[in-house]
Amino acid sequence: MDLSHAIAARAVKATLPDGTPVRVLPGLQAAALAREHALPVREVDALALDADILPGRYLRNFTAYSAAEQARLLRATAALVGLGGLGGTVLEILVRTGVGTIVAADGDAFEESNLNRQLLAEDGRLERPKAEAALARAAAINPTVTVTARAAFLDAAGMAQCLAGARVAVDALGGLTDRPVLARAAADMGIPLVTAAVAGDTGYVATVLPGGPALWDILGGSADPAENALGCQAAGVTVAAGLQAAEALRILAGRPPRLAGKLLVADLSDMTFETASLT
Amino acid sequence: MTGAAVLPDCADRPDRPVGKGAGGSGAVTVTVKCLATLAAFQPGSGSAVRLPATARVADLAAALGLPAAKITTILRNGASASLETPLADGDAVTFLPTLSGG
Repeated sequence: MDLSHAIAARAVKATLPDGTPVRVLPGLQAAALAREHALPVREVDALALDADILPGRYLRNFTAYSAAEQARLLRATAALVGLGGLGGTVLEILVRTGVGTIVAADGDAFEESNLNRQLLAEDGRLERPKAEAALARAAAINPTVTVTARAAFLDAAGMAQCLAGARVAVDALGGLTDRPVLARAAADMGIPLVTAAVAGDTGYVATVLPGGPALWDILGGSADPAENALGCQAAGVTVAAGLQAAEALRILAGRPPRLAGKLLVADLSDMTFETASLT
Repeated sequence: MTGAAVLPDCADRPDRPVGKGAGGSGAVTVTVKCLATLAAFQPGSGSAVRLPATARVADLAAALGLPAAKITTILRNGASASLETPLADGDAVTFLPTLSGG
């Protein structure tokens, strides 16, 4: 029996909460078929989606994502540079949503001051590499997608390597030193960049398409960024990472980005959101 | 928009031309948000600030006592702006410092 017939044979009938009848491929069946056909589970899930059969793992992604969009997510690659406060939460969201391949990097190790906000930071992981925690977390949530995480601070060449083949680059770096380098690498490679930054209760997200505005001419500049005085807190960084992940997922699913050439500023001290054009 | 802060360099100056939309008072009223480390410069009376009709963003910052060197990003009415951008009645201005935490 060929794989598409085998997927259909192992699918079960189910009903979405709104009453929509669907066919579902349970995760255990997808894993068994993947073993039998020597394929990644994510490809079996994508093939199921091609036939309008929904993988059980992603059932609650529907119908916000169509089967075709979910398949596109599973066949897409995202580059994620930075696995701290922003990157840990972005990774969590991309892995749960079903982005098939995530290429991540962070050369840092956890320190005690990360524990207030960074999803991947755990008391038992202090002084351990963030990349190691990322791999463990991703495997624990969703072993059916492919995540690589380099424990390295990337130079321009390393960033180009990380971005190769990616449909989106997520800037989850901290500080100003490396962000412009990543922005240049993404622009040179023709890859959309979704950036975010936070300080205290304030954060922003912006998307730059190739040929877009020089982001760091507008957002950079100070040698003494606000987080030096205000720190970074869990709610603010999680909001910024959620917005960043939502925008990255739009691009990965083949939808137009909402923040291309724009800046979305979220402030949790006055609970305001503001979107402004950067062009 | 209540309790517009009337700042010293503002309104009622006979040498200023009459601004549009300010009831012929020669002043404009704008709303301002000073975020993150700039929150200390938010007017105590709220977000509304009256300025001379010829005011630019730099005049707003000066009226707030906000040094230009502390400002990295300026947004006005949903677009990026500069210190030289002229202000009109009803404008909404946001001042941001550099944020780069992750």
